[in-house]
Amino acid sequence: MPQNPLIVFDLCGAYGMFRKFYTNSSSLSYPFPPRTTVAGLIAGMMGYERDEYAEDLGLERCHIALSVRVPVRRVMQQVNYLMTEGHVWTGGAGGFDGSKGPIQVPLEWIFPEVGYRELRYRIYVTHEDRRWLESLREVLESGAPVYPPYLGMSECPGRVEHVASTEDWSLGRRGEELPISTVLPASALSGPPRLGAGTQIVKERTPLALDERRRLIAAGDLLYNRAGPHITARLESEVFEVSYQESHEYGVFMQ
Amino acid sequence: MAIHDGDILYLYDAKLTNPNGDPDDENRPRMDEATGRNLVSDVRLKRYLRDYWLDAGEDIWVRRTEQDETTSSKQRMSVLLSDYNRDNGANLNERQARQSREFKDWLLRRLRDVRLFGATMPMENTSVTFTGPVQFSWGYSLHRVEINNSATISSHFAGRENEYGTFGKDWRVHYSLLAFYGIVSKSRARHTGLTDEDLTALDEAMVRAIPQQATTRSKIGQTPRLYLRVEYEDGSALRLGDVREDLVLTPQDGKTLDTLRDIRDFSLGYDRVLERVRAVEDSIVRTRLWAHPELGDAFECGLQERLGDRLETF
Repeated sequence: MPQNPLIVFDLCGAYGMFRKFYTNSSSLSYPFPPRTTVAGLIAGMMGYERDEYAEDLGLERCHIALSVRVPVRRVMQQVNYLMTEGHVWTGGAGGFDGSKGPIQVPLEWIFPEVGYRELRYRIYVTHEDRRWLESLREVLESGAPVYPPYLGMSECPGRVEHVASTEDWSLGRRGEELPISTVLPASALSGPPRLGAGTQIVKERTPLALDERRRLIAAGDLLYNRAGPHITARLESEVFEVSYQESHEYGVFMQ
Repeated sequence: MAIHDGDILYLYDAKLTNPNGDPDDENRPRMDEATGRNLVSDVRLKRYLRDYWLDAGEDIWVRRTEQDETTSSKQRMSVLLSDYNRDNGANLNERQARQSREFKDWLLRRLRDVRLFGATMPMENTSVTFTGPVQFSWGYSLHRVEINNSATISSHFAGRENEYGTFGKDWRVHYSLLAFYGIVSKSRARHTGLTDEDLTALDEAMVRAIPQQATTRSKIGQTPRLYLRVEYEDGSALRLGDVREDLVLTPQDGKTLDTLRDIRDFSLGYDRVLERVRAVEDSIVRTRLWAHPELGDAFECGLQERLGDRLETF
């Protein structure tokens, strides 16, 4: 069976906010969009509604990897949200309109490191349905997504840039140590990653997939190197190898 | 007129004032400490717009408690529902209203801020979230901003019986030229029933709201400087995007970028923005521009040259 293409595109913007799923009152952010956010982004650009894309972008049918191209930093700000406790229809409760006053919530933004114009994440997508990939490629090439791209929240409008759609890639198990450009599922490692000078590996527990009612159905630990472009490690799981333009990269899908 | 996808660039400046305090930091102006840039939330910007429309007699969904004493005592939705029943000769109860498509459409027709910026509204068994077709990023200053030394102020609060004041800090920025990026989404406009008239109202409010609304002690001293809204051909590939980093500030008269105190202390260069406009020119259907007289007409002339009658000024 011929292999379906791998689509590579960048998500860019001034700043982002990728809310951690296990925080409550404080809104903390992942340093990169988790798989669920990327799935929602792709679905929105292709014109799916909120409750329509769980299956097409689920773990079974769609494979997504992500690489952090611009180093990030965090900026904490306290914001005023509306207190909406209770329900606006019932006696004495609710406040979707601001009637219960504001509530102050610490909010963590992701900004590009000083000296960079904007955040940049590279996203790699493949799918079991070749026609689906073709329509994603058309959306990316036309530059006119149905719903506009965001970096996590609607206050973070961004843009996408189509980088490549390539058949020049392969997926398989590899015995040797490889520099992995993407964020890396902790479960993919067969041993500790190489810790060179300056390597700063961070582990983030992120959501991986939601069901059609937007309930969490899978989560996983992802590793990323805050200080550099890749993590060098020997891997147990399948690794993809892709060539496009001047790049030759190794990556692992988020699953 | 049909709604198109669009981009918005908006600049205003703040002089010896506090554009947006951080409630967790003594209400100090919001700062990105690593770059020295001043920040303003999208919520702050939209509050000016909503207050402006409220003052103009429009109904607005998101209010402040003190603006309408009835909101907290009676339920706001119940007030709206009785208006709906009266206007339409209907007799829906709350349960029926929650399931009524007509009531939802009526609400959207009535509430401009929801059509523009979206809202979470109680409907059916739960709440419905409308994502607004118009979204603003947080604004940031295009230069490093200095915060003045906090003058300690003392104030007497009503109802206090003793003669002692309360000490507080009064943080202000010396000068901050703030830039916001916004978008308009035609697909989202369909969901909230956004009209072209709403966008025209937005254009005007962006220019008028701050002078009219920012009149309290900590907010006075803010002036809109530039507003640009671009509309794109449907299905077109090219977009201007966020061009805030393409604006170039050049200090004048021995000033440096770190010591700006006034709009007259620098010139604003648009060449890179105009280059971007040239690159996406074929996608542009219409552009609406307002510029403060103190900024001069360089930008308008540059746009005029490229866009001709696709440029409207107001």
